[in-house]
Amino acid sequence: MFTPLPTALFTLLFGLTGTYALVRWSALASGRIRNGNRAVELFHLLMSLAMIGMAWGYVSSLTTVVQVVVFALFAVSFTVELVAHGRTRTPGHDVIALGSHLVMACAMIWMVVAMPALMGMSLSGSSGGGHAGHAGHASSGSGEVAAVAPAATWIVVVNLVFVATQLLTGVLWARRVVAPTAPTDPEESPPPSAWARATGGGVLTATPVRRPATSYVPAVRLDAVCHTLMALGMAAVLVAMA
Amino acid sequence: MITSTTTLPPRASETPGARGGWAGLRPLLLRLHFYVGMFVGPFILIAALTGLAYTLTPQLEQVAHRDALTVVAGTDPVPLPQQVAAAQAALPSGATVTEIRPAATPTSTTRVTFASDDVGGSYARTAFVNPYTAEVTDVLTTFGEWLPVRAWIDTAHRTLFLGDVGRGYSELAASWLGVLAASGLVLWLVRHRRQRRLRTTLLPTGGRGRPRLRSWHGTVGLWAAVGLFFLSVTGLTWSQFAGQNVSTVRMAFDVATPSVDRTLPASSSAGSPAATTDVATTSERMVTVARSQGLRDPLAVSPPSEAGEAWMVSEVKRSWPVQQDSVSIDPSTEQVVDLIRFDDWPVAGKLAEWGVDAHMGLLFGVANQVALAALALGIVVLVVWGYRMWWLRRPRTGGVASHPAPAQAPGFGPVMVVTVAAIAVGVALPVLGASLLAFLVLDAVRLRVVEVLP
Repeated sequence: MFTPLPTALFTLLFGLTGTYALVRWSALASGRIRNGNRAVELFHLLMSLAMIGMAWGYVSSLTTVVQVVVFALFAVSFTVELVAHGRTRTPGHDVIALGSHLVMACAMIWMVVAMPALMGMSLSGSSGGGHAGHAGHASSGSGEVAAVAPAATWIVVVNLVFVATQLLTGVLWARRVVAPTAPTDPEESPPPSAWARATGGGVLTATPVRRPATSYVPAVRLDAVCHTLMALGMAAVLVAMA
Repeated sequence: MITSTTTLPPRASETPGARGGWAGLRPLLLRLHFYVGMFVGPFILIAALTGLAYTLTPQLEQVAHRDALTVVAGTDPVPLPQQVAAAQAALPSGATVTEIRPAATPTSTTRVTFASDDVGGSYARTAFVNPYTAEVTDVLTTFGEWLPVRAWIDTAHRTLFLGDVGRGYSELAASWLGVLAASGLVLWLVRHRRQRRLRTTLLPTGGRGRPRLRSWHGTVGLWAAVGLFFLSVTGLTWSQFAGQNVSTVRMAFDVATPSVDRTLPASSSAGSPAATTDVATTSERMVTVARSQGLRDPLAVSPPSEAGEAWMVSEVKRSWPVQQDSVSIDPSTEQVVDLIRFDDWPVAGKLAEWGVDAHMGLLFGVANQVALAALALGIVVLVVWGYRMWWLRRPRTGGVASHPAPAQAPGFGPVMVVTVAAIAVGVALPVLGASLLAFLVLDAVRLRVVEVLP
């Protein structure tokens, strides 16, 4: 799909973010930590896996459909959260975090849909065999690519818009790396151990102060680093695709 | 400064903290087994019921199509070209012959199959010819070598008559059947290993209600486990997406099912492929050459479909001992172009062939059919008992029961390991991966929406 160097870099980058998300997801699913958002961690994990898959050219009609459906579900979920936040001003919800996840979900859908056009390839379906001839043993079809015409101008322009949004998102998260703030959303930010220690058994005090408790800082920074890497990584992949 | 407090009470259903080993794995396996059974159970049930019907098809075919398949044994069969010509006369003029199967027993008919645009897909039209009189006994729409009754049940089993979309159902069932069997087997064996009771591990116990059902569910599942794995693995080789991966792996390791090279040598003077008038006369010469190479009945003769291609004659015996030798022949010189003996197939190729034939109940005849029918019935009762156990667990206050052992939380390590394993398996078995993904996402989104919306 890409040349070896970008492929290796994207694999490393999204391998790191995916591992971080996997640890968070496992901690949440096992009840090791309670204050978190399984949907967000699952989103991070799947996004990282999808990016690695794309870097290695693991694309087919099935993976395309599945990714569009999955990331559309996430987009709906994040939109519902944003709307709920707007209506109720629910404490503990971070508009920037929710907004960035929504933008990322939309960018993922765009990436999956636009990739064939941007990279000059087309996907074919899959075929297989039936009982009588069990031709499936020798059949082929899934994921085959063939050269097609270059991308239309509007596709390139929309792609650039998504690159810009990802860069902006990356900058917003990078600010939190430099100047970490206390989490305002129990589902966003501090990694398991720090958060569990700080919140003590499920009672969370979300205080939007400028300077968080010292014990939070590494966790908040790590979380912000992860988000920054994902946003900038996505921007880089979108550029590489074009 | 605004200070707000959000109280997140610990979930009563989960034990916080990390639990490793079996204590951490068991709740995860229980949930996996429960949810897969709940949501994939109906698909597995349909596959089992249609599979059960499929086990009867050899006999059904003989009854439903007796006139087409059987004749009174005679003494002097007419030459094969005459039989083929009779079949050609029974079909519209110019129909292309794709395969000829000379009568393999004294009471069977000769089959001549034609490509047909009218029937579509992988279907064809087959004329059945009395080898002693060259009289056409019937012309049927066939799917490969299967006659209409078997083709109908086969399609129900594979696709539920929904085409490529329907193939997803059988792939879903095959993908998860092995996971269900593995998780159930581990849960059952560990449970009874701790109790150190061999009898209750292997045989159902008495009692009443849910414990009795669980005992039956566990023991039947234990005895059926090997068969379930077998059906899952062999079923996946046919599947739309996982089957492609299987083929890729087999090609990569050079263990694909071998096929004869049909490219004619440059020196060949063979004419255009399958010229209608040539097919009848050439087919007999090809059979003679194949027999001289040691090929035995039942045989299938395939005329070339394009210029530069040789004729192919193959053994098509799929019962034990399997005969699958193939030879390609230059019709102009009657020289053998390529010959592949079943004995020379790679072991993986043979295993695949035997596996497929056993899955279809062909390898060991009636014994094979009975074993498959028992397996299918076993799957049916396992699924029904599973739902029944869930129903018996429902709260007295109303509503439906959640997953088993809700008070136990899975361990952090097991969740992570199983998640990584699910990712790896999901790549190899895409329908399993996609369905697992859909479930996890829907569950996570549902939880989130419930939490967020007032």
